[in-house]
Amino acid sequence: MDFSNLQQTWSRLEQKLEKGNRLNLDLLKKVNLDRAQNKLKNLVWQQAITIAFYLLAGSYFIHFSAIHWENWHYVISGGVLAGWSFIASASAIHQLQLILTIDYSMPILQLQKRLMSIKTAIIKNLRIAVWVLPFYMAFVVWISELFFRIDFIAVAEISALSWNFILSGLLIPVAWWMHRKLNPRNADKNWMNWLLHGSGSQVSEALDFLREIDEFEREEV
Amino acid sequence: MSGSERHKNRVDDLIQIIETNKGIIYKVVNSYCNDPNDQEDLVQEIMYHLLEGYDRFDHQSKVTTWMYKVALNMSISFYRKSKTRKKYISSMPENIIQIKTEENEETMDREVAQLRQFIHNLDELNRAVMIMYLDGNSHEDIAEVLNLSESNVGTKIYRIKNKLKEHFRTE
Repeated sequence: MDFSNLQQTWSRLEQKLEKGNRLNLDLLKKVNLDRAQNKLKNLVWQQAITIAFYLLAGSYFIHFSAIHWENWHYVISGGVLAGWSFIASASAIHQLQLILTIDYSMPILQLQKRLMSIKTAIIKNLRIAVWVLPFYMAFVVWISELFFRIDFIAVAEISALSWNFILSGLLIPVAWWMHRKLNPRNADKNWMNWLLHGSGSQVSEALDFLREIDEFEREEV
Repeated sequence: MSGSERHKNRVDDLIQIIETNKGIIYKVVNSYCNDPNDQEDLVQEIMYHLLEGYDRFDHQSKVTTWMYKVALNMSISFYRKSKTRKKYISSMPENIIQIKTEENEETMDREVAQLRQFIHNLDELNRAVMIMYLDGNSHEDIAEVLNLSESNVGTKIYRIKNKLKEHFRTE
């Protein structure tokens, strides 16, 4: 092949394609732009429901703290659970913002990165979830009060409380370890695939592409 | 001028632009997608996004640059989705369906077919660079579409051309 004529060869392909393809531009005029983009709509709804759930949960836990303001353990438990719910909702809001601002006229590397990061958000959510482990006592205090009207801290023996606090402390390194294990690099592992509801390979592919994009950007003279 | 009239005028403008530059869409789609039915779907999707996004187009950059961005972004996303899909159906025998197309490899001249094959063998991002380069776009335009520096674009084109020489030397 004559390299000086690469562009000519390419334009021959264009001519062939133009001959083989017909665009019905009259039909294009009739396209209804209000037609729903179902795939995107589903994603938006999913995120909106998640945000609403966490915001409601967070508000409820603030209310829980407020009505029990005289008991420090209820205030702390409600505060911890509210904080966790709001962090989860902030993450969901960020995802929704990413989805809503998808614009296919963005530069390629920027948009493809955004699309891939939406696909891998599930790992970020799992990471947020594991950080509730060391605070399991907050759940115990809340559930005891809500369903059994029992003040767990008041009725539990001091030794039981001590053990629970020690266990909470021990769960901090466990949560940290899980946080590290929930690394995007492990997306193709079986256990991670199970946690990701079977979408591990897709997450893994998205991460591979993100790495590819980074390498492509870094590649300089 | 009422809102609907303004919209109609913009649609007419855009249709004119598409008519003039439809080759961009054909070449991009053809470079990322082999199946004629998928090509049709992809062209439709691109048209839809062009039409939908034209109101946001600020005319600060060239209209062709904007078209490249939309067509390449849609095609790369489509290509990645179909790659995943193919992975799961790869156990099916090949050629179970044969779609007769006017534009198959036999009807193309040898050089065009070779060049097309070479482009298909590039990864998604380098393919975008090559398509724009072959279309005669400047390094500046390619850099804008991809969000890269001009020097980076220059390096990539140099490397792809070397690969191309290597490829045809071994053919």
